[in-house]
Amino acid sequence: MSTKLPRRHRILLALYPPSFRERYGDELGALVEDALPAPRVALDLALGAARAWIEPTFGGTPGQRQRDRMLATILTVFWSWSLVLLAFAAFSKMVDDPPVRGLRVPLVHAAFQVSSASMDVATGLIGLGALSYWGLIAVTARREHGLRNLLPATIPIGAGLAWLVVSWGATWGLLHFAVGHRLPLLAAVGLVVLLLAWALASVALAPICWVSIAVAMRRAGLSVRLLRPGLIGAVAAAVCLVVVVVSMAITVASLRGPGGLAPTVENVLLGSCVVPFAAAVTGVGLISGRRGLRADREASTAPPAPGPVEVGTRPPSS
Amino acid sequence: MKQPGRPSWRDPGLLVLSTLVEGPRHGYSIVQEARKQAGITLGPGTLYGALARLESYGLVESLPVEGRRRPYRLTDKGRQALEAQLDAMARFLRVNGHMEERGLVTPLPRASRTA
Repeated sequence: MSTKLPRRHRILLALYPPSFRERYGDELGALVEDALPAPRVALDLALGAARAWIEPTFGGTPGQRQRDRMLATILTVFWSWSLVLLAFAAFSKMVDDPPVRGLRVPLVHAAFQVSSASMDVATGLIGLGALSYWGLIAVTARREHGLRNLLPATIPIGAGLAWLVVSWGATWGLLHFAVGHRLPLLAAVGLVVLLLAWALASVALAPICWVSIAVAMRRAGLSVRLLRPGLIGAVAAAVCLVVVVVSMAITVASLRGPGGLAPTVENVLLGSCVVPFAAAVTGVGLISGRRGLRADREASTAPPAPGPVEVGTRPPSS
Repeated sequence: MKQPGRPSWRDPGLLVLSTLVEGPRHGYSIVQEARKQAGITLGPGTLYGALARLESYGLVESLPVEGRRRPYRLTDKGRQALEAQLDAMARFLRVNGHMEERGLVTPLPRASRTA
């Protein structure tokens, strides 16, 4: 990308999905350079980047398009799973910590158990896939591209985990100190600011890790053959997430009324937000799964087209 | 209704297709031609979003890169899609004209129609 571009345009171009940047980044940068400086260029680039993420399109040969589509599906289902996991944690806290009385009703209990079991299966599938691909990227990184492929996935996640451990320990220590001592006002305000900064930084870690995993998988250039098991696992995980969301909805609906959830602000807010949120992100994962399967099926039935050499396949020696 | 592989009327892709009728063009040239044809200035993000969709539908194809610019040309499928959409627009205008003649719709004031 050209350094002649203003910094804000370079940042906006960096917001595009990696596949889009790889395919159109240079041309887009050249056009932004040629375009008359207008404030709406920045807005147009920002909207274009958002649309490129929401409605991804893939260029290049049919083989490249198939591979990019499969990778996008795997990553989208991974993101959906992580958000549903967050929603499920809030849901579990709401109904099972402490267990509400209505949870003893067999049907409600069964729905809750189904949601837990489905979440476990989805988590197992995602975990298995993540470990397999991390190992695969590590192997190919050693063999073909050095550490360049592995670092984007390893550094942010390692730094993130280290941040969580260290900051959680520091916050825990500070809170214990604050409880035992009468703090002056300034110190108390400082502590609250510190807690907010910790919470914000922890939340910001999730998107950083998502993007870094996407970059690492993209750089690894995994072949269709290697991506296919991941695609099938991702679609299975997306189906599990549907079961999670449906059983969560049944549980929350059954726990309304006497003996169910106490009508506290927290419960009402969680009940009205958590399930719709989980349903929305699951829907995104399912739609992406359907697109991925369709792209794979269409490419499998289409006549073969020449494509680039993929990792996992070797060109014939001439 | 939106059909895959066929840009809708409000899709900038339709405008991009029409700029490629006379031959291959690169991004900047497409922007200039769109401005000449329709008085619309396509932003870089809008243009490349449209080009990416058109390419994934197989309606345009890219040619070898020239410096940092890559020309695009219309494919046969793209030409057919453009013709189909222009036909639909022409039918719409004809039907609208008949409805105006029969008094079923009231023509808008000139200034509002062109705004």
